[in-house]
Amino acid sequence: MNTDVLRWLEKAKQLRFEQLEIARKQAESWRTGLTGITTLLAAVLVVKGRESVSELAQPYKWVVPLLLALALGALVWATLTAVSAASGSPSRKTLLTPEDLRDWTAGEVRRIEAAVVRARRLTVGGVALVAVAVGMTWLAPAATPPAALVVVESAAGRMCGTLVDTSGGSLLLKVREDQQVIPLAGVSRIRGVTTCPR
Amino acid sequence: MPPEIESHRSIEYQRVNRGPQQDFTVAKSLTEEGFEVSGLCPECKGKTSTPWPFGIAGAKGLFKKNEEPHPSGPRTVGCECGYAHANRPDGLWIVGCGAYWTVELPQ
Repeated sequence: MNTDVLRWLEKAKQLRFEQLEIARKQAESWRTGLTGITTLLAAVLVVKGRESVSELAQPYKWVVPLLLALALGALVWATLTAVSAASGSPSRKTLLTPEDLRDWTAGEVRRIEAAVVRARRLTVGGVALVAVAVGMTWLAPAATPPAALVVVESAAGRMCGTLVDTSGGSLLLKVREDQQVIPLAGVSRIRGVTTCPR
Repeated sequence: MPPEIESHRSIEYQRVNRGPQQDFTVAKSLTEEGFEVSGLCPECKGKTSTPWPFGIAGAKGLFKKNEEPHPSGPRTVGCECGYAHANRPDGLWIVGCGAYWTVELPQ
């Protein structure tokens, strides 16, 4: 006599009367897991080196936020996967017969094994990404300040461009792609501007 | 199907596999999603009725596919005549004579 089927019979019958308790327990686990996700967001954004990534040079200025976003995604996925493995996702697709319950149990065991491995890899990957992002904010070069844009009024007229250098009694001004040499003796006024006047 | 006349036998509780049974009604449940198996127990001849609802036991992973289940094939059902049978162990959820058998789910 196969007593397994009798145990599954009993189990299926018992489950029928424990639906509300199962649903409540799943809801509690998911509530805890989802609360953890919101704290993840704060944790990933707080753990960073410099106060602002905007001070970093290109391409680090964009790579660091990208790495942090990927890390957050991996950690959120890991949390959801772990919660799903721990409590299951609410579903009403299983017929409560001994055979369906037995097959579902076997499938669920396989799914949990795979989910735990996936959650572990995602967590390690997420933490590694955060570490790389923080390391970049510490070690990456800072962005160089933009060159000064000036309007130079001299005997030769008025010119606007980027101040490159002053040497040998001349002023070197970069106007678009050309470099202009202006004798300092003829300069009457130099003033800084944010954009060149038309 | 002719109306079933119950002539229950007060036999001792015994776990007996009665194999596949044809004289059972497996119909969609009128009260919940699932099936209802009913008929006369082949062992004690008591009227037995077992609901098979779709339950919360199921979980299909994080991104579960929204597929409608179509269970088919034989399923095991136990006697739930509800009568007292001598030597029945305490604490069982299924109240019957201990006999069990299989019925085919409708296509």
